[in-house]
Amino acid sequence: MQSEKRQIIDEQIQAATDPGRLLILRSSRNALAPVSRLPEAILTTIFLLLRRNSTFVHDLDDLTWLHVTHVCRSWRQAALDCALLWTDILFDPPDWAAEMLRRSKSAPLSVDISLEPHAAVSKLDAACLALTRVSHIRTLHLELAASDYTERIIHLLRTQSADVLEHLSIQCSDDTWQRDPEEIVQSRGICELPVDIFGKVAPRLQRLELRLCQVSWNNFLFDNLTFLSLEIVPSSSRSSMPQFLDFLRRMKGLKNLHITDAIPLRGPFVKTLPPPIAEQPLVVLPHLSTLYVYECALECGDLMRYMVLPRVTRVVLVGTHRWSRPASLPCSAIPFTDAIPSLHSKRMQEYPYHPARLFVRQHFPSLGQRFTCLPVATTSQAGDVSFITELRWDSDRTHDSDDVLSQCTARLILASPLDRIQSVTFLSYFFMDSQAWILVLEHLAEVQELHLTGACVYGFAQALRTLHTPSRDNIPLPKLSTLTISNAQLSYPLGSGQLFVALRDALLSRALSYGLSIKLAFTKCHITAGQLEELEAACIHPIECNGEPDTFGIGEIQDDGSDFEESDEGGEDTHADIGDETDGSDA
Amino acid sequence: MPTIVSVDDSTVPGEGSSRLLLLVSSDNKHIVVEEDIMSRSRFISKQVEGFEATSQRHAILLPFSSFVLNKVIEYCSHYRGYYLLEDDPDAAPPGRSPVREWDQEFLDVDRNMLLRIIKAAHYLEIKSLVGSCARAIADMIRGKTTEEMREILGVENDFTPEEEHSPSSKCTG
Repeated sequence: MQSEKRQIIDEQIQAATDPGRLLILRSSRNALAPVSRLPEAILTTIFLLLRRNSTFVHDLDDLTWLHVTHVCRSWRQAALDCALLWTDILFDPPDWAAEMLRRSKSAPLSVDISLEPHAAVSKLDAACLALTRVSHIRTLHLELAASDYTERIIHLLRTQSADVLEHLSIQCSDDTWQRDPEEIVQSRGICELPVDIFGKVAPRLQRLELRLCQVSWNNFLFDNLTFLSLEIVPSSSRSSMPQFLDFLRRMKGLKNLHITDAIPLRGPFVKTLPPPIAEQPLVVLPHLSTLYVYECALECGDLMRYMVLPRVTRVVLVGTHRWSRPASLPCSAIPFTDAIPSLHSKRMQEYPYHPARLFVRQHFPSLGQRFTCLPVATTSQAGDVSFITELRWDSDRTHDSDDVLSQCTARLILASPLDRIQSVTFLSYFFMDSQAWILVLEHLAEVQELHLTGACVYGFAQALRTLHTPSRDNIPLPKLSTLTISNAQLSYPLGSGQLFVALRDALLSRALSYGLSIKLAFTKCHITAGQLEELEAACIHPIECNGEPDTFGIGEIQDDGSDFEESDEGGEDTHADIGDETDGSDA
Repeated sequence: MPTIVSVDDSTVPGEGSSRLLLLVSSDNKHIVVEEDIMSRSRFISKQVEGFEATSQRHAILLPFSSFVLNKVIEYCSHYRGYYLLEDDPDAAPPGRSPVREWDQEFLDVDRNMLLRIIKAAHYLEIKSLVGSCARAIADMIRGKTTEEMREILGVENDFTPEEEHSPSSKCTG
């Protein structure tokens, strides 16, 4: 029936010459199309699925949601009547903003404004027009450059209540290549948020992200936050530690806390952590699931002394040296590493013994020299727990010796619950000497698998040999069954500390003294046939060798950083180089 | 349109652990289906509540063909016992929702059939099926030009030149 009607109309369309008549016929034909008989509720559901979603960058160029208004009259009407379709306000071109604001009626808005220092008047006017509707804005993202117009924008935010605002993000744009926060502040300026922003009314605000913004810690608008990200707060507006702690303490429902260069400073000349502030209560955040702190190690250590976290919180602490003061790492690393055991002990009181995994990584030069990444993951019925600590510094500004780095690495590892760890993976570019290793290995009573890559291997082998001397009472690494070594040169270094010699002696002692053997494997290592044969004899088991040799970290300069990245994964399944006998133990 | 007619008790098989319903399609096909399967439909649930109030057994008349009805029953049978967020946002425990890849295959039908299914789902108030169909239609036209959309949907440009360039067409890409 419908198809017959459609056929008749098609014939009439073919015959029609009058434009008006033609449009009427086309509308009649459209009315018969199955798609036209969809209820408006379904049409708007489809339109909303096509809506621009600023969460996905690739969606930004997709204008299908706009094109639907050009399909036919009925679709245009349905789209124009659907206020939700127009709530994600566009500012490019600027005159769209006014039209979208009109079409969105009173629906909650999503406003994302990015204004460069010398923004066109029309764009600034469009932005200000959108900000006159603050009471209807649910999500507000402002990217500003400190400029003449900032005051105008802030004034608009100050004079209206934000009744439905849930997510506020304000950031001053900056040159991302600059790292020193103070340099960024000096070159780009900051955005000052008044204490009476939104007329002190934003009852639904849950998510706050501020970058390069001066904010008052006494602002009670933020007490209901579940997500807080503070990035690069100028030192001049960081207030005092008690005020900052009070600010955090009020946010009982906080689930995610990200702090980057925002903790109150202890003063530019403070080298060690001062005593805790007297009578300062701890900050208890019972719902926190993620804590990320990227800060000068000293300030980071300072803050962590006051934090009490639930056991399932994912903690990432990245301690840096003070950017403006070269060689400040050694003095600031100590309070940083001291803060970690206290945090662990607080956590350890709450959850009992669980097997754990330790992953230590020293980043490679191509990524900038960094220091020790140490996640500890425990798996339990109560959920996963992970803990990552890392020390970083700018290699151009600091010239720390291997001794200092070695000590700091050991301190970080020792801060983890070593007595629970069953598996260790350690990737390193820098050496960790045998004394530091001895401190660590003595605690690894549960470890079954060890995987060592790079320069850390040499100190490890020497420590293993030392620990296997007959005079020692305890069996070192009593449960160790598998040892995998990657990216090492068995003939390095020269002398009695040679990796091959130390390893062989340790394995022989272990077998003779305790009757214990280890399954050994080499990946991407330089090893001679003679060395391999002797080691197989010492550890009883056949040794597995894989991968092309790659010995970064022992003096060979690598130009191509990508080689280091490849080496992380253990390499391809080819046999390790079995070199000439002359490279062997006599070297 | 009346949706309920009285039927002989013998038409509907007896009461077991899951009661049976008689659905009558627009092409007058009688389809017996377990009540549990159709419980995803708020429309059917409301009808059944009505039966309980009157202690009468009824067939439920539906304004779409048996072909479409069978597709809807197939969908409901597949998700029998599952919580789907759209249908029951309060009751759905985390992790119970199955992967919805099945929907993609299930809705791999021609345009007209897809439109019939979404209309039936809308009528029966099965939000999850409406959502899946709407996603399928949206995917069909996503990234297409206006002309391509008209071709896919089988509609004509019925705008006057003035309408095409009127202020209301401003901000339409």
